[in-house]
Amino acid sequence: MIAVSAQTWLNRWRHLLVKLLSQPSYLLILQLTAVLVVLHEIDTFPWLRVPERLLALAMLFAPRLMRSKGAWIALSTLLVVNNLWHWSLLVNHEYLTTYWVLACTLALYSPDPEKVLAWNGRLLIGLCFLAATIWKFLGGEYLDGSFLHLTFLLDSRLALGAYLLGGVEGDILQQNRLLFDTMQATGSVAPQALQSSPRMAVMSLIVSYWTIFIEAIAALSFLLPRPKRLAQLRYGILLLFIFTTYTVIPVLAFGSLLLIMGLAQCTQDSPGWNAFYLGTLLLLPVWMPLPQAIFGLWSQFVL
Amino acid sequence: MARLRDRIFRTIQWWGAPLLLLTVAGRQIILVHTVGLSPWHGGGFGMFASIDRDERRLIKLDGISCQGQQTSQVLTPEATGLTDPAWTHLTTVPKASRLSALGDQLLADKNLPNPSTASPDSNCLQTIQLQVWRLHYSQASGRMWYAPVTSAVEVAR
Repeated sequence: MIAVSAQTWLNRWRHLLVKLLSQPSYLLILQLTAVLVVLHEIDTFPWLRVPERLLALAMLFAPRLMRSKGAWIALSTLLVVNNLWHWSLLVNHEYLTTYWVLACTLALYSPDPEKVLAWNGRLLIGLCFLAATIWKFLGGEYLDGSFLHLTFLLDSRLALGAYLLGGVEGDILQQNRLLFDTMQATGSVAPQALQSSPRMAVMSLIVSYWTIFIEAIAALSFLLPRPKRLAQLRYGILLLFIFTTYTVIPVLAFGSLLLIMGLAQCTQDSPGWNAFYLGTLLLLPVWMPLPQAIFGLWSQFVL
Repeated sequence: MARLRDRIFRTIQWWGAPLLLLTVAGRQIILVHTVGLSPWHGGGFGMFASIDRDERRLIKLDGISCQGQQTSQVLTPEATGLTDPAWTHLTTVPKASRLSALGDQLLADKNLPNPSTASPDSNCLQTIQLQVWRLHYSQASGRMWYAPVTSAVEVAR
């Protein structure tokens, strides 16, 4: 009974993917981009974002608007104005979303929008990974593992990683956070020792070098046409980055955007990846927060 | 002429967004190293590369009260009357001109809490110095500490 039901759901899922992928690929990319603009930061819902959300929502319900150059120019303008006005408050993927919406707008003026989207997607993914890699060297806090070690010990989003990788218990993490909060509130400049474990220090270093490796290799695979083998591996590399990074630190909007830009490209040169990218994107709200949710429940009832 | 226009438009179509990314990322790197912009902001993809997040920064006030007493405190958005976005902007991009403007505002504000004085009448400040500090951490020593991002900005009544 359960096997039949699972088969039915699997067939429905396949049917949905085939249906979505059967339309012109540029249209699918535009629709997914509009969904991203509507849902981005829906949990905090800043009022300043209402106009762009409403416009993107209208585009989703009116197919003519979705293909309208005017609507995409308006959406680009709203995003650019928002970026200029709040440039210091926005985080990286909000900039990247704006560049991508601009690329979508420009693609509509081309007789071959798929090619323009694929090209822009490839360069934007490659350049954002390149900049992220450069910053790991520029910051001076990454190569010795300091950044990730502190982040594991203070950032509650990485409590799962601190426990599983470093064996640092929840109450130790809580004491570290309390120490930092006191330090920040009092402005104490005297160095304070954080509690950790030798395994956490080693794992911070390993994860740091893994991150540099995967980001650098992603940058090279998307930016360089050669070696061909590396370029062919780019879709797998991007997915590996997404799965290994965002299951530990769930950043839904960034993950979605990378998948949309990746999909825009693989529809052109590697159609075998299409369904996998689209499926991963559609199931993202389920799989991405899942490890954190399980850990949250586990630490509440077991630890 | 039309061909040239088409060529320019085609170049923008293919290269416009990537060049914009490079320009903004380049500007961010410059601002981080000149005005102390937090690497987490400004579109340079410096998130998850630096400990220096704006939420972890703090603004310290060192002042001399009208009675000649020295006072020192960590400012909060509530104490300054700044909105959350204005506070984030100030800690993220700690330009001397903005700190100076905040100093002028604080000197004019009689309600500024002064932990070193008991009576509200003695909240009057003569001179203040404002400075933005950031968090550091050393994996080797396992210690974290605060150090200044900017030079102190002095404002007098």
